[in-house]
Amino acid sequence: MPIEHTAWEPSFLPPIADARLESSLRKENGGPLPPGTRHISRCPWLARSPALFNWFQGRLVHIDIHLAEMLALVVSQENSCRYCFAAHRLLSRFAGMSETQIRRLEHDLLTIVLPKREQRAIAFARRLSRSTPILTLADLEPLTAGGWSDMAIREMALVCGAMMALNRYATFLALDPQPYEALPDRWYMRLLRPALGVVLRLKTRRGEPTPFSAAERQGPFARIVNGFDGLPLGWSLRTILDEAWDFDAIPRRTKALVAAVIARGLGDDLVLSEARALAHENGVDAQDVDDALAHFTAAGLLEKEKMAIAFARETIWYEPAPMQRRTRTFMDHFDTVELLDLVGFASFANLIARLGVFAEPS
Amino acid sequence: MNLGTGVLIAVLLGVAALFWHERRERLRLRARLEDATTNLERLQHTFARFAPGPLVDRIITGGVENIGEKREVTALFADLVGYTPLAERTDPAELVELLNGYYAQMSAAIEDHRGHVSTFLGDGMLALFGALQPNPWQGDDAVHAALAMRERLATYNAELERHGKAPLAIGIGLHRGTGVAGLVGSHGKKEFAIVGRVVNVAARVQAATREQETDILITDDLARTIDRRFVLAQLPPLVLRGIDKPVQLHAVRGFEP
Repeated sequence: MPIEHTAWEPSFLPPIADARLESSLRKENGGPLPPGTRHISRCPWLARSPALFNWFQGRLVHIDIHLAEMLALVVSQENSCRYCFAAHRLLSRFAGMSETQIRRLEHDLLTIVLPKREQRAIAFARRLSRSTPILTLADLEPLTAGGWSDMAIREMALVCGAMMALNRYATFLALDPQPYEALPDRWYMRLLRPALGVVLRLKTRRGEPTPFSAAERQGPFARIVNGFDGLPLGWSLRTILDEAWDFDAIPRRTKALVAAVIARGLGDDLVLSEARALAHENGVDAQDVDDALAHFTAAGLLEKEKMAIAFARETIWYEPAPMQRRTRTFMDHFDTVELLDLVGFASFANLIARLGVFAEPS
Repeated sequence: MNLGTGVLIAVLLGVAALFWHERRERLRLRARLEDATTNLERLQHTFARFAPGPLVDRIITGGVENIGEKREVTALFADLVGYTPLAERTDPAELVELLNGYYAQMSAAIEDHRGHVSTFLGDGMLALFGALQPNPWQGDDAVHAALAMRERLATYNAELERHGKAPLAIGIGLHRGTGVAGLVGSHGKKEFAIVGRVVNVAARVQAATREQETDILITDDLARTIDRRFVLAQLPPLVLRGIDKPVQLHAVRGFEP
């Protein structure tokens, strides 16, 4: 079934214009903003996330844009995210991929004509997206055998991880895919595509190795993030997590519990233990953490916290339309900023809890 | 036009026709390949509803082999009470309609709580929780599903009574333990199943609902893992057929949020 036939609920968040934010994001993004930006603008860290993970803007060092775009398409397809798939379909077209190639990739056919090492990269993207169970070192062996360097593998993992997070919040918030889906077939877009492709290629920058500063090696989930030290996308991940952690619409203790639930659901003991410690540091009693992880309730939790952690569990594996209906019901209990902060953090916690295999050794 | 030019034109036309034919054949083969892939993809997605995703991938890449692994699951066994006399006194077409309506309701209750129906056995069914994806909350999910089945059956019975039909009654038995997940069956027919004591115990517990005159029974192994908000009534240990030691059971009364 083509991805654009996936059932998708209407967007339920009103667009809110914020000229100053949009102007700064446009600079960081190096061009126009995604059409969903205004729907998430009340939560600045979340609105910034697509720009931070825009690999056309000097964020890739070890893999090329074409591979990153293929990985983005594969992960978005695995997660049935119409919004992100359509966005990357458009970018891939500008980057020189044909519609037939995209369709074949969607059907896993392109792997037949791709070089073996790229086939392995795509298989890795599918494996990481599914995470049933989460990755182990054995899952990296085919990539190493295919000639990918350790840093290239980590960069691929971050490209896939970023898409897993973006897919999640775009899906849960039912961001409208129509503007992206309709665009490639517009007559003016067909006409302008070659010129726009040239502009995109001219504006595309390669990244430089980006070693973390001492301060950047600290922060929530540092052991996982430090596994990506040296990569511009690793820096993006550190930045987004710090901004999310500092944004207080949803308290830190709730965010820590959200991450713990997701880590438990996925079976990532490393992230689970760090999330437990963070919850405890932020005032959740150890018994309450245990109860929350076991049954999504605890004597010391607020009602909103219980709802948030039950929601976190749903973000691990889901189907778009039922999940969108479920997220919409949260509008009765959370204001827009709280909802964006919760959905966004749960989305990035899914990224963290799936990449434990890359953690820095203790 | 001399002979040489004529031959040249004929050769060019022949090459063009051959090229055109080859191109058409290539496009036709590509379309068939894409159709086949779409069908395969659809089959893969459908199959993934009945077997774990990684297992489906392994079957696709490596064929049907002897795949088996230990997995912690919660098994739910449900059976219609008084099915034999019901089947004897009901018109076959009406019986099938009745059963299909019943199964639709029960399957929905199970799927709403992240379980999957593994097998239908006449008037009985086996559902599993935690078999397709790791699920640390499988115990709560399974007991919530059993309560939802009770609720849905009450609604279905009200509908049956409106049509002048006798209400149905069920017995549900649940147990949590380790089973072996794999492809089981003969060379000609294999299916994904969980085999082992966990399933046998759930079936025996279901059978015990008759003598205990209750509809939902769970083992102590499951009761120890579930939310304290479930309202349980502990029963004296029971000797179940085929199980060596007496089993501690609990009747599930409800859930107090």
